[in-house]
Amino acid sequence: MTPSTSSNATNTGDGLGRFPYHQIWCCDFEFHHVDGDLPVPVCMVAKELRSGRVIRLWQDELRQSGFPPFDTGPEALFVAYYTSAEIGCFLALGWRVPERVLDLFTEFRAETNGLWVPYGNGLLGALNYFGLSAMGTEEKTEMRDLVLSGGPWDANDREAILDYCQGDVEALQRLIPSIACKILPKDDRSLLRLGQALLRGRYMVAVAHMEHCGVPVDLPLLDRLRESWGHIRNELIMAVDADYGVYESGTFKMARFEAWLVDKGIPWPRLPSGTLATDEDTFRQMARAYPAVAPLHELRHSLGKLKLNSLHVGADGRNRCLLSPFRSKTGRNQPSNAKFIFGPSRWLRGLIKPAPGYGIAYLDFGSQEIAIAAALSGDEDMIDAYTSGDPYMTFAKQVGLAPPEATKESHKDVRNRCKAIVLGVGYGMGAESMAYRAGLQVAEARELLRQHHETYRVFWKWAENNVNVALAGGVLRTVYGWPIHSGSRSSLNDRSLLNFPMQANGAEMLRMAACMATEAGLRICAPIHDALLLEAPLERLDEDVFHLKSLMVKASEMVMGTLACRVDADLVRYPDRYRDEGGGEMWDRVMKILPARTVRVVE
Amino acid sequence: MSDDTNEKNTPAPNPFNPDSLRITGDVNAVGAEKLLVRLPVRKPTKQEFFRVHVDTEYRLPCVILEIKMEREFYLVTPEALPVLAEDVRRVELRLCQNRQGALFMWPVPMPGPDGRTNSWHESAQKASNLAEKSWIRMIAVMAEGDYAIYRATGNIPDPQWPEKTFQELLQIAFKDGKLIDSEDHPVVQQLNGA
Repeated sequence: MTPSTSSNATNTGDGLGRFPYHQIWCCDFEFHHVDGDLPVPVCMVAKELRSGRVIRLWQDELRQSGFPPFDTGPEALFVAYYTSAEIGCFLALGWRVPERVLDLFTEFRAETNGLWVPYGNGLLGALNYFGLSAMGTEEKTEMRDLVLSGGPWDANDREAILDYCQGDVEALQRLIPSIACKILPKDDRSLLRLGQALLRGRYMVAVAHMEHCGVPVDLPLLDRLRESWGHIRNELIMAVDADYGVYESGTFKMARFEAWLVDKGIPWPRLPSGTLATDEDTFRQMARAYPAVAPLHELRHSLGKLKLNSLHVGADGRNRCLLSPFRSKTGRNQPSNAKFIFGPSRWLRGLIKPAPGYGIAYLDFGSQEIAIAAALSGDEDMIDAYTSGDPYMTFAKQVGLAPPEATKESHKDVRNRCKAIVLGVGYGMGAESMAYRAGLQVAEARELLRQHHETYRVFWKWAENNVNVALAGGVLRTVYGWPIHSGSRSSLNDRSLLNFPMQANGAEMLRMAACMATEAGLRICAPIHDALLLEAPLERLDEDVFHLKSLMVKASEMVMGTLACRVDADLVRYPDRYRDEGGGEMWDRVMKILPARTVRVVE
Repeated sequence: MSDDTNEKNTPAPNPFNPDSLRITGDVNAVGAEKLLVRLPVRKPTKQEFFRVHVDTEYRLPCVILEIKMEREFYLVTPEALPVLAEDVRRVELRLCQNRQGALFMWPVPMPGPDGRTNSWHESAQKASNLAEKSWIRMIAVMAEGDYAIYRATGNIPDPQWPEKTFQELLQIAFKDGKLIDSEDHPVVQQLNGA
């Protein structure tokens, strides 16, 4: 079948000609997929803006072609909205991915990050934001449903879907001038911005690779868990609640919980109304501060059957979901807690298991926020603390809480207190939160925080200046240009602004590492906050871990300049499974319950 | 070449060479500095460790009037001194800073014109001298009639002093009518029963 193409040369008249590329291709795919499975491309429409040439390909034509129907080299600019989806289709088709990607989603997020976006971050939202004409939401939903139905489609459907797809391509063309006005090359600054935008586009390609790969999950075991969940739930409550006595007929009782807290002498945060705060954040923080709370926290977190069923696992046993890059203000990924294996209860991560003949490795940046704070502020004392290998113990020594010869073992308690403060600063926490998190008195946390201020003056001057810059109407940027805006339409507080450089540059670091790793052909299953999950055949696992480590160190140097971040690795070889430190106890409980029920079924 | 055609001379940025895309130095065009708009005049509390500026330019022997009901200090110039002679005290104003970085001006009591002093004043002067080099805390001990002085041990960093001159600091501390330079000052009138 001959691909449908048409040409209608357009003079865009909006300065797009200044883009230093011979071709500018706006592209959109329509696809459907079952949750957790790879996308199935239905059609693709691409339009070259200089010539006006349009390419419309239906699914059979896409499958016949082993390569993209347009230039994807460095001389051509590939433009899309939420490009990881388009590149996901490229990968599903086995096509070579574009080298120069301008993602209008990431650039819309950059343009509005920190500001109120009344119509959301989708393509329609972006068009509406700039006052551009857009397809009605109802019409879009109707067409999307038609695509997601998976077919079969008759000739009319096919034309309608292709027209709908082309409509999105035309929308991209309308959107470019509004979003690209700051990156159209006219001076060094805008050229820099264009380069930074392309760097974000490069990451969207890496995201597509990671989403394509997915996380290996023990699917038979997940199926058993799902089938047995009702029974497991009841058994779990009985087993865990034996130490607490806070459940009654399967229901969590506040009065009983309060009595347990009094009995154990645990101070618990309360709501303004006076009732105990029992939200997930509070439970998580208190479980860290008071280990006795941890099993109860894990139980409460695990009891949502819905979450177990929402986990997106494909027929091939891979957990795949949208990684939602650039969704958080810091630019970090924000995948759905329910769909992502690293989102739900930590015990559930025990389901992660390499396939026969494979191993996985979890590599994370050690104390990333501290390293970034030290490097970017240039605080020599903080740099010394980080390079010592134990920034918490070094802080304790710097403020005189521990003698020079103190070690992690000899002064464990002091180190833990200092750790809470040092980490808390990296997360932008106040003294109260730090106190709750570490089980300190608030006054003690305040004193430690004051000592932190006093010890790391250069850092605090830099950090407070960042906040002032933002509140004065400036824009805070990471070293590679991810911005956050404050102003009348912003809901940012000074704490999140203070925290922004550490978190957002940390996100840059991970993005850079993910780009280099996926481009080097390493199989990266997923990014997890400041970590990457690697998969490799057993015989190559150590080599790939070493390779990824070196790339992550390089990425840290690219962000921090002179300082390199430490990278730690945990390896799991088949037939072992991943075991999360915080969820191991619950996993063991569940596994003890599971076989008992299976035996009864067999009987 | 029209505006809408590719300008060949424009170099295309390479996202695979991010070194050229890294922002170095201060990228922010705006900034902020903390302004000193208030400088309390008070003595150190019993709960704070403090330091005293060692520079002789940051001390001023002078006369002050303390309105105890309002906990307010007024700086009295020689011109106004004759009408307030019975209510004023001779002090030395010293610039201080506590461990929270808060600045204050401490009126350290001085011997009277006749050279007479007391144990409270003597111990306060001693504390102020010690605080030039150490972090000091002073607590009134009523039974002994003087201040107990504590010196902090350990490696505590020195305070960071403001760059303002003492004259500028005085203007901040005694702004809003806190300078009594004539008998027409409202506080003088009030004391005279006007």
